[in-house]
This record gives sequence, structure tokens and C-alpha cells, in this order.
Amino acid sequence: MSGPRVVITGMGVVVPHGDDVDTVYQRVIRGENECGRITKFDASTYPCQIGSEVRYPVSAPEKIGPYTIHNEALQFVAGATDRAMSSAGLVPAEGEAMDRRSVVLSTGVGPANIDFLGPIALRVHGLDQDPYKADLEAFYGKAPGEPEAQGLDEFHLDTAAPACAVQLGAVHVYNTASACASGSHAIADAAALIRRGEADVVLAGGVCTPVTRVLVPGFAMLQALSTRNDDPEHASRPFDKDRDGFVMGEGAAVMVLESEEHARARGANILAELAGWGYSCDSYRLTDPHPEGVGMALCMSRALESAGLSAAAVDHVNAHGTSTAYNDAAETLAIKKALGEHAYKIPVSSNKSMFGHLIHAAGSLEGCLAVKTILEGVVPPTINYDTPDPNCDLDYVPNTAREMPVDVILKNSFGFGGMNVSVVYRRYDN
Amino acid sequence: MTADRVVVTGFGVASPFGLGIDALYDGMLAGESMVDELPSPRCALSPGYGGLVTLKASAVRGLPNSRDMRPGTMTRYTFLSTLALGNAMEHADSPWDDGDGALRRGFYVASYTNSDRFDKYVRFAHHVIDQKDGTPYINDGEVAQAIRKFSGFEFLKLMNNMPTAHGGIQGRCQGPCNTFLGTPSGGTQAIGRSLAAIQDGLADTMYAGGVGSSAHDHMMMVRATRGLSSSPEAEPAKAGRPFDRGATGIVPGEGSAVLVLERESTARARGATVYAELAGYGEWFVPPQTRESVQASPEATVKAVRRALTMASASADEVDVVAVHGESRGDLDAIEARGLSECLGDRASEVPVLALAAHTGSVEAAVGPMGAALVLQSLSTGKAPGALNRQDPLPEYQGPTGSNPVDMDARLGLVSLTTREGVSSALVFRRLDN
Repeated sequence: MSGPRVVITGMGVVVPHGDDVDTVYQRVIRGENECGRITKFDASTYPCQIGSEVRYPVSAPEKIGPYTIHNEALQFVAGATDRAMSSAGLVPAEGEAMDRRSVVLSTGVGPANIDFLGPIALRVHGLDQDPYKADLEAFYGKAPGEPEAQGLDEFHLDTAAPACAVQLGAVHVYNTASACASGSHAIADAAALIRRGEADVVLAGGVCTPVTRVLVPGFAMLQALSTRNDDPEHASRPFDKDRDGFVMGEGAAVMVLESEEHARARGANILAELAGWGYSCDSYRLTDPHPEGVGMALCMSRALESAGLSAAAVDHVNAHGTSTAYNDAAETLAIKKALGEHAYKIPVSSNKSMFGHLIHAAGSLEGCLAVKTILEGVVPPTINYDTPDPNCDLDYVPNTAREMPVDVILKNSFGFGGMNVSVVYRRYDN
Repeated sequence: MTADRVVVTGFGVASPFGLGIDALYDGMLAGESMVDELPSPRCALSPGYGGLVTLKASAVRGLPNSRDMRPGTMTRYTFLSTLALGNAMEHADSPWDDGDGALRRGFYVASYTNSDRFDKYVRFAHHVIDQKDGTPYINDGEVAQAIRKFSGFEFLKLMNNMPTAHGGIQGRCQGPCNTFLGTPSGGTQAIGRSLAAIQDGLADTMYAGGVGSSAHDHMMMVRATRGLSSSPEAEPAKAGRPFDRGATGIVPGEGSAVLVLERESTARARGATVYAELAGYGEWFVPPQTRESVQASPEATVKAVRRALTMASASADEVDVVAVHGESRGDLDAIEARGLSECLGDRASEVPVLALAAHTGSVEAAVGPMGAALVLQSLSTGKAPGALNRQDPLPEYQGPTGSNPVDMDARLGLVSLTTREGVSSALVFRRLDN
């Protein structure tokens, strides 16, 4: 697909390691871990007691246009958007310029958050009647601003992307989801809008707040999470033989993508080029990747083809690397399928070893770190890598960052349901 | 981008009228409403009535693995979207081979949300909620015990992308797959972006549509707390009243539709029936004035429609039939009606306006795809359903109000949605003579 070159001019994050990309990257290349025991609630009796949380006060607008920023997810993404726009030197567009701006955001706004049910359930607790019916009746007549009614919004997905559109000054907005591939998916879709000539500026990324009382034990039941509860700092260990699942993480990460022409015309600081992207679906199972990594390899090959690059051009793979037994083995196979012998010659690292899995925001956060890797020339390590797994036999940059020139990074993101996205980030060369 | 046109070779529908476009279309031609009193326990929720899809998984024969449609692994959204997908594949006689075709096939579907069993959370909460000094709190010590009452799939199936994931597996799609969320325009967005995916060379065939299931406890409560629900006093079959002064609010409903979009050369090569060209797509966002209100003007709708018509190289004068959102709540309907009048100009009084809510209740993100299926059927048959429950129209509404079906020599159909979230969207279909 031909069209304008797509470049990255801004990045913003609110994630466990911090709320600016530079700090997060510096901490990541030092191998600093942010996975720990869950503090948001008492998880001591839960099968999984580990999470990667945003443990600092988040600076974000309280209101954006008509939207009240009333929960963590909205704060995270509003804060990240502010930072991305500031980093890109953008202010909200007005008038006709708004037509050239879009938002593509992936949201996983903590569905199944039961905390807000507390006040409602208490009213009927112990009463000799159907508690469900009583709860429902208690909801009726609630004004939208009351806590119980606002709690219902926790389930809802209709605010975050529009709020970002107001921040950016955009009149085109898409709210999408492809599970753990979502963040990269949004970025790839955003790039496609620019490549097609539909937009000059797109804010893209994801937000997720899954460290909740329901989702943590729920995903533990799927045996997707690490239960290394007595050693949380070492729980996320992608590609290590003793990995036992991922660590649930929270946060938001977004990028500002622009057409090269638009960025240059306004004198923007171009951080990197988004050179190509590829999508695929395993069409296999809901929970497991294809064991031979067929879909994963397909989307990597498609991304390289889209970028007009051969496998030999790839300097580094920023892996999906969840720390589950299935994913890491399948991804390793898939990288070898897609890159051939070249796979053994390049570093493959998983940032999730340090902050766990931010689900809808994972791909966009790791994409930001990939851009920083190109700019700084230091490949982040895969920490907690102690014991090699015969099924994972690539160079995973174990435990220590590596200085090296990096021009091209292949970023993988794979999701439940077999959704796969790969993105190619390239050093910007004008 | 390819110069090949993108055509519609099939469309599947799951509605309260049954499976397939014929059931929905014939029901609407007959002026029927499927909105009725809801069964227990939903009958206890305001407004107590709605349009339910009563189909079972066995209704669909077009899927390779219908046996995998286990309710335990699916929310209502996923179930309904998979039904429509199977019906669409059958309607298009679309192959589901595992070979090269699968590599060039994708699935975009929209779902307003994917959380449909609020009762389970509430009952779960009752297991774990306690109080201390009069303040409620979650007793975390009880959570681990209570969670054992659920299976892991109870959580997996809530993920927003599950309608797409199931469809990707059932439809043997190894191309792009994605889920669109958060607005009734999501379904038209899914179709519009599918058009782009084919044009960009990412796929030769895209299944694209949307699903809505607003007749479950969660959405009914959300609407009740926002004061958006229709009145419990209304007669169910007359409760859905798009553009009518007597409308009292949103009527719960269910439905799903999926279109089969193909590169024209691919469709012709396999001898497929080509129903129409998907000729244009447009969308535009203007935020509502407040979280509880709607946009101040129909600007978003007008711009979305004009963009879609421009892409189709068509003018508003050529539009023969239009399917709309028609939410059945005065504030949004008035804005939508103003937008339609502005777009259609002098022809606003004569172009048939199809509004599902009167027949099925609110189908959320399915309203665009189901409307598209109705437009496509109307283009094929030369007959559009009449208006239902529109006897006393809003002053802003300039369209037809007659209940009789309209015969026409239709060539161009429009889908135009105005939404409470502020995202308007439009599709243009042009009938092709095979």
C-alpha cells in the first residue's frame, strides 16, 4: 500500500514505571522491576496476588469537554494524551484542521469491577428477598452523578476515546479492541489512516485497568497468571524455563502519528518512522496460540512486506513475550519462521519482564519503548531470565541491557482469540 | 489501493423476527413489532418489555463448527454476532476453506460493550460484601471462595474482542480481525473500515457487521439510571416510536447483522451473486453538549453523509432509501431528523426512512449493519417497508409517515446514523445489475 510516510512525533504514558517516556525507558534499561504484591486491595487470599500498579498520584484533567474524568482508566489515558500532545508540540486543533485529526484508542476499562456494588448490596444485605432484584430496584432513580450510577460507567467504553478526541481536537474517533494485541492494533490502524490520506495526525494507543478483584482471580482461573506470590519481583519471566504466567498490569500509553509532510511542515521533532504493519488471526482457539506460531509468523511477514523490508533488515524484536508457557514458545517458533536464520543473530527482548502485561495498553507502551530504543541505542533486557528453555532458544538479552545501533525494530503483539499484530519501527532518515 | 470495486455478496441477520434478512424484512413490510413483555427476571427491570432474539445455535448451518457455539463460552453479544456471521456466510455461499482463501479473509464486528450478565456480578458481590462501622467494603477473604463458583471462561468471554475471536475461528479468517466498541455507529465503522481493508489489499473478503443486546439487565440499568429508558407504561408494540412525539425513550432490543464484502473480481471469479457496491463511507464526531445530553446541531450527521456520498460520487438527489438510527428518544431523534432534512433537501419528504427501533427495539451497534441489510434488500426487491409508530411526527422530521410499503426503482441506498455518543456515520450502497 503506497501513500505518505508515517512518522512518530509524540509519546505519552501513565504506567507503573512512571508518567514520562524518558523516565520509563531509563528505568527499563536498568532492568528495574515494577511487579509486586497487589496493593489496590487485599489479595492475600487470592490465587494470584501479584500485579503491576500505577502507585503514584496521576496528573490528569478533571474534565474534558462534556466528560468528567472520574475513574482511573480515564485519568490514565487523559494524562497520557496530555503528555503525548505536549511531547509532539501539538495543541487542540480547531475548525477545518480538526478534519485531519483522528483518534484510534483501545480500551479495556476494567469491566467486572465489583467495588461499586458495595453500597448497593449493603442496602439489602441480609434481607429476606432476592438480593438481585433488590439491587436492581435500588439503582432506579439514581442520578447519573451518584456513585452507584457512576459505577455503572466503569463497565462502559464510550467515554475514553471521545475524551481523547476532544483533547486532540479531532472529529474522527475509533474505539477498538483486539485483547492483548490492542495497543499495537490501534497504532497500526492509525498508521493506515495516514497512509490512506484520511488523516494527517492520529493519536493512537490503549488504556487498561485490569488489576481488579474480579479479573485477577478470573484470569488466574484460566491459568494465565503467575502465582509466584512469595516472589513477585521475579514472577514475570518471559522465555525462562520456569515461567508460570503473566503479571496483570495497568496504565495507558499513546503515540502521536503524523504524515511526514505534515510533521515537517510544522517543524515537528520526528522521533521515528512507523514503516509497516501486519495483521493476522490464528483462527485456532480462544485461549491458546497456534502451537506452531502460524498466525504470529504470518503477521510478522506481513509487517515486513508492508515496510518493504527483508528479514535481514531487522535489528531487534520487541517481543510480545508474556511469560506464559504457550505464548513464549509459540512466539519463538514464529520469529524463527518469519525471520529464518536471522532470528538467531538479533536480540529479542520482552519488556513485560519488568512491568507485566498491560493488556490493551501493552503494545502501545512497548511501541514507545521501541522508539526510544532506536533513539538511544540501548536494547532493554529481559529480566528474570535464569534458566534457558529448550523451546525458547533465541537471544533474549538476559538481564542486562545491550548497547548497539538499532535502526529497525519488529514489535509483536498477540491477543486472546488469536489476534496478531506486528509493527515495524524504523529510524527516521529524511 | 486497488481500483477494484468492493461489493456485497451476502448479508446475515439475527433478529427478534428470526434468522435471515427475509424474516426481518417481511416482518417490517407487514408493519409488525416484535417488542413484547420480557420473561423473568428481566420483566422486573424497567421498562419490562423489549425485543428478544429467541434463536438457538442450531439455527445456523453455515458455520464449520456450530458445535463450538457453547453458551458457556459466549456472552449474548458473541452468540448473536456469530449467528449473523453464519447466516451471512450461508447467504453469500461463502466458502470457509482453510487454504489461501482464509489468508485473505477478515472479520470486523462492532459491539457496544460485551458485558451482559450483571446478575452474576451482583450475586458474586453479595458473597463478598461486608460492612464495618456502617461502611460497605469488599471482604477480600471471601473472594477466593466465591470465585470458585465460576469457570475461567466466565471471565474470558467478557473480553471485548470475543465476538471477533469467535467469528474469526468460525469464519476461518486469517486476515485482519478487530472489534469496534462504544457507540451504535460501531457497526457502520466496522463496515467502513472493512471497505478500506479490501481497498488497501489486506483482504479479498471481509465479514463486517455489528451486534446489539440491550435487553439484558446491565444495559437496562444503565439506561434507567440515565433516564433514557422508555416508559414502563407504554404498550410494548407501540413503545418504539422513532421521530414520533409520543416516544418516551429507548426500547430494549436485540439483533445482529453481518455483511459479506468482497473485492469485485474475487466475487465474480467465484460466480457469487452481487447485491450492490459498497460505494461510500463517512463518519464524523462532535461531542454531546453534556454527558447526559446530545449534540447541539446535526453537523456530525451532515458531514458524515456528505463524505460518504462524495466517496460514492453520488449526490443526495440520487438517494432512494435511507436506514437511520431512530433511537426513539426525542432529543436525539430531533437532531437526527434535522440532519436528514439538511442532507436530503427537497427529497426528505419522499425518501423512505427505515427505523428498526419500532420493530425490534434498540439494537445498539447492530443498527447500522441491520439497516444496511434492509437497504440492500429494498434495493433488490424494489420495495421499502413503511413507517411504524410514526403517526405524530416531531416537527423536525420531514420524512414519510405512512405505514404502507413503498414501491420504487431504487438504485442508491443510504445508511445514516446519529448517536448519543456523538459519532455519526454513513454508508452508501449502489445497486449493480449483474
